[in-house]
Amino acid sequence: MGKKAQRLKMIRRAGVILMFLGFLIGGLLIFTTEPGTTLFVVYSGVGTLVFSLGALMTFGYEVFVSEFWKGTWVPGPGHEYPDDP
Amino acid sequence: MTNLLSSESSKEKKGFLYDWETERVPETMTRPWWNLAYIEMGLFASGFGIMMGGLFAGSNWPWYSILSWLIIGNLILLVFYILIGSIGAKERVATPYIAEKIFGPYGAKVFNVLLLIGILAWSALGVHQIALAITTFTGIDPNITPVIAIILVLLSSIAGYKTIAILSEIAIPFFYILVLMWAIYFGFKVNWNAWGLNQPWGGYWPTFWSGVTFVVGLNIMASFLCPNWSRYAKSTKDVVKASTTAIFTGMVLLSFMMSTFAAYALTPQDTFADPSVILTRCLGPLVGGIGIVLLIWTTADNDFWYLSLSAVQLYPKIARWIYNIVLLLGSLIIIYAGVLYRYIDFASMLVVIWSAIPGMLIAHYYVLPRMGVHVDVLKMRNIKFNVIPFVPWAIATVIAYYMSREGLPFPELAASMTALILYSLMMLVYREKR
Repeated sequence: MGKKAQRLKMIRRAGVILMFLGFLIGGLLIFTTEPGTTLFVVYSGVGTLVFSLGALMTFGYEVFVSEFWKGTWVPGPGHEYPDDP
Repeated sequence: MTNLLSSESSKEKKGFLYDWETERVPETMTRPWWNLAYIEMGLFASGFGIMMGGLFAGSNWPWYSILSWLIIGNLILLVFYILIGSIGAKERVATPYIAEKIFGPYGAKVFNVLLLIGILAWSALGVHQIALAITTFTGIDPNITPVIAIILVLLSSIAGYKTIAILSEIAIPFFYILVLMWAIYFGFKVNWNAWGLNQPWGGYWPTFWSGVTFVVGLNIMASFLCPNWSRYAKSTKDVVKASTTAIFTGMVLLSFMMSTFAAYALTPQDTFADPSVILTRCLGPLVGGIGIVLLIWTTADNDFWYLSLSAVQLYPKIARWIYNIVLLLGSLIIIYAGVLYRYIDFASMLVVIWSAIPGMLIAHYYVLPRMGVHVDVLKMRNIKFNVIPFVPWAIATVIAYYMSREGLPFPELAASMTALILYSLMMLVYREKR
């Protein structure tokens, strides 16, 4: 596996961790609050931000690769990672 | 069909904005099944899921009836989605070009013009809804927010699948994991008394089958647009996995669970299950605002993507992304001119014509080849304008119109089946001699 592919793998792993954190904050901790309270707003807001950033890194990792913006590569079956130049 | 050549070697020259709009999608540009599912779920998202939750919750029907409507109705839809989506995976071209196989290259232009006229109203409505949501949540002047809304939609639709996928990759996990968790949270807040309420904001379905009819009618049109995204599938198996996942999470689970939001947020004084009101009252202006904008945005960008693909078939020398910009500017003019809602009324009347198309697509690809009529028969005989499909199309439309007017169940399904049978029989004039 090339350097670029390894970097993308790390980004995806970090994304999974962020999604998990966002889920903990926005999806589970929220059950300890009442709707409309400050804690509710903080948990849902922070959870949304952390979870969405994690989703981008996990599922939308193609945005971190220049080949994607050049239109020469997209992640897909059998072509998940770009080859090193 | 225009320039539908395999172009693996030329992909380096196409650039980011190219969406394989006039060519087959090459193997190296295909996407994983879950990514296809995200695109489809984004199309389903809109504010409809939340609004439907409200309509279902206040409709005076018990939860098991509503769940049955959703499962039966969506199983019927799933058959259409899989069959027509698989055509996209096989042909690797968008619906406007697949239409050439049925109508001929010139006949398909009639189809695509109608599609443009019909969907532009809903696309412009999407932009308008985003603008209204931004105004509500930020207080920005409503004369400015339509511009902000078209910039957002432009950003996510400019490169077709590529940019739509980026937005979906962020928004879909948010909707289907976090928002679903919040639906469970609000379920506990209303002690799970979220269905069977008799409220003015609920929908009206006098019989069980009228509920199923509502579910089928809601998205049957989207089935013939499936090839627009399924052309990026590696195999038909991926289309099956994507459609099944998208329908059962997007249309069944989310719509059903959104009732808990509505049951918590709405009061007997509310007369309409407004998605913006429901989300704001449940989640507050910040997260509610982000949620409603994302929901409508993921649907509106799909709409403009489909529209621009139809425009390309009309005149392929102009790139899709340019049509995309022009159509967005057109929708801005419609909004500023104050004619949007009259246009929506007109487009609502047009809805009745679409049910025939899925039937004819299924007939062309699954029935006719077994009866000795080749899929490429029009090309082989050099027929540029095939009048045959216009006859079943017209008859099926009349059937759908009268059945809807009389309140009979499944008008869309009946129209689709009528078109399938009539088109199959009439196309036998092109049967090959054995």
